[in-house]
Parts: sequence; C-alpha cells; structure tokens
Amino acid sequence: MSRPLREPSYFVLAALIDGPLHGYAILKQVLELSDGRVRLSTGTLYGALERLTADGLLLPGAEEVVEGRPRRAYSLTPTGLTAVTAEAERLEAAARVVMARTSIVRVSPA
Amino acid sequence: MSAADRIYPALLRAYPRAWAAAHGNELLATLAFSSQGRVLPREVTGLLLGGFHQRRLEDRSRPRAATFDSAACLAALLLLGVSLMSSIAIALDPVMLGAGLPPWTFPLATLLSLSKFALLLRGHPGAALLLAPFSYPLLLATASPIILLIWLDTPAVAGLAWLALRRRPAPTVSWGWMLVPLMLGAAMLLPFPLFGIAIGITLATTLLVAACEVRFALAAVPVCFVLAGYWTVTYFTLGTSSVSQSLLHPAMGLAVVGLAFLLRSAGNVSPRSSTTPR
Repeated sequence: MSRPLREPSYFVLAALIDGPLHGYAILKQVLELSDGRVRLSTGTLYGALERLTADGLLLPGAEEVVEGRPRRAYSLTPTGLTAVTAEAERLEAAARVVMARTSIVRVSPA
Repeated sequence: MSAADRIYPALLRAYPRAWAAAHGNELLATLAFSSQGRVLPREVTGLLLGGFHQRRLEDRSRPRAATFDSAACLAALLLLGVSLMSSIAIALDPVMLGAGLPPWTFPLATLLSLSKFALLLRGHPGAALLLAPFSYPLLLATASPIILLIWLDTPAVAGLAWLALRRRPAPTVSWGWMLVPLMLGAAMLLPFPLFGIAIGITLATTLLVAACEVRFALAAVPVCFVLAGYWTVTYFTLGTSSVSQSLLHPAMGLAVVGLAFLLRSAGNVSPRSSTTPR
C-alpha cells in the first residue's frame, strides 16, 4: 500500500486533473479547490513539484518565456492520476467511518 | 528596485547551486505574481525551508566516499586555518617575541602553515603532506608555546594523509575559503559582547546547515574536539598572555566551524568534489 499523500501534494495533483498548469496557476487553483484553506508558499509549491516529478506523478513541460518571465507547465501522468484518485478514495472511506457513526448518534441520542 | 526584487533572489541562495540554476528563474517569476512585489513572511519562510530541504535531498544522493573526502578536507582546512591564524597571532605577541627565539622562527612557521592551507585549498593534499614534516622540527625546536600548534597540525596531517593516499581525485575548494582564517583573525579582535553575538549567529547557522549536510556534521565533530583540547591546553600553558586571552575562548571552536557553515550556506564558496557525479 502506498503512503498517503501530504496535503500540499494532494491539492497540487488535484489542481492538474483538468489539464496542465504553470506555477502561479497551480497556486491559484489549489487555493480555489480548498476554499481558501490551503495557501501554498512558492517555495513549498516548487518543493512539491520537484518531489512529485521525481516520483513520476508529474511531467514538467519545456520552459517558455512569457512577457520576459520563464515558466513551465506541469501535467499529471497516468501514475499521478492513479495516486490522487487512490488518495481521494482513501479519504472518502475514512470520512465514511466517522460520518456513519455520527449519523447513528444523531438519529438515536442517548 | 523593490525590496522583494532584492530579498527573494538573495534567499534563493538557501538552495543548492545546481537547483537554483535549473529552477531559480522560474520560481522567482512565479513568486513575482504570487507576492505582487511584496516581501511576505510566508514566502520568506517557504524559500528558506525549501532550500534546506533541497540541500538535504542533494546530500542524500551524494556518494558516501565523496562525503568522507569532503568532511576530511573541511576539517583539515579549518584546523590548518586556525593553526595559521594562531601562528600569526603568536608571532605578533610582544611576550612571545621577547622570549629569545631566533627571529626567523615565527615567519617560517607561518609561511609553512599558509602553504599547507593554500595547497589543500587547491586540491593538492599530497604536496601539503610533504610540507608537514618540515613543520614539526621547527615547532619542536622552538620549545615555546608555538609548540602547541602540533596539537592542531597532527589531526590536520591525518586528514591530509587520508586525502593524499586514497586513490580518488582530491576535492578542490574555492579561494573564498581563505576568508575562514581571515574572519577568524577579525573575530579575535572583537570585544567580548560582539564576539558572543558572532558566536550565537554562527552556532545557529551551524545547527541548521549541519542538519542538512552530513559532511559538515562529520567535519564539525573532530574540529570541535581538537579545538576544545587546544584551547584547554593553551589556557593552562599560556595563562594570561595578551594573545592567549583571545585564543583561549573554548567557544571559538564552534565559531570557527560556524563561520565555515555560514560561508557554505551563502552558496558562493562551496567545496566541490570532483568525485561527485555532475
């Protein structure tokens, strides 16, 4: 069984499900997907991108220069998609355990 | 130029040089958008932690032999650097000059120390090792407190022998490391409160960088041990000689190692081992 993804990595992978994005767009997408809860610093983002690329979950594109600034789009690999899906299922199963029990408590209070 | 334009590129120095060359511009471009030209504490912390994390990853991927070579080189350099500055300090001390020794003794001892240091710096530990036997008769003949430098020279010579006798290319270190003995010399002149602050800063840097790079931790252990012994012996031998006052401080050992770490973390005087895959 693979290790659970850390939250920044989970949201970075989730941000790329709809297609490749460059650094700043990933930061914005992560913030939006997490309802403003996960605000990654740029250093944390690039650490996560490096790690996920090394693990084969992301594929960095070629560097391009836009308005004098270099940037690179990152895309999800099939392994990355499998990993983030597996993590989402694990979180969902974990959530179900609690939700099922709290709904019993709510239905039949002591 | 805004503060952000100055501070963020400076913080990139927390990252390994190769990583910064490959990804630094892209990271700074993203940072320019996300911070909107402001210096944000969250971004500053993220860069510092990210840099140290990358250094730790790079350290883990370094071959073990290169790590030991680098540690031996750093330890020998630091001890030879202290030996060099100590021999200069002793040579300038009126108490020592009045001890009736031949006048050429101190300059010759200093020249030998400087030569060994420079040769090791440029990746010639074998040549530095050949000079070592000339130091010993000189030091022993003086029968003065300078003889204590043998304490520093012997572990340094062991490091030189390790580097010279193994069948691998020697690590080379940039000329920037000449700053180590020079800064040590400057630190000796500081009044005590400033010296204490300098030690605090270097100690904090030491702990941070040693946590990231095994070779610095490996170099720090023998250097601190030898210097603590050196200053203890100096204390009981020299007593209250004017120079010995500044040489004695046991914390100076930590400061010396910390200075090296500070230079290393500044990213511009890093030891480069030719045995490390590029």
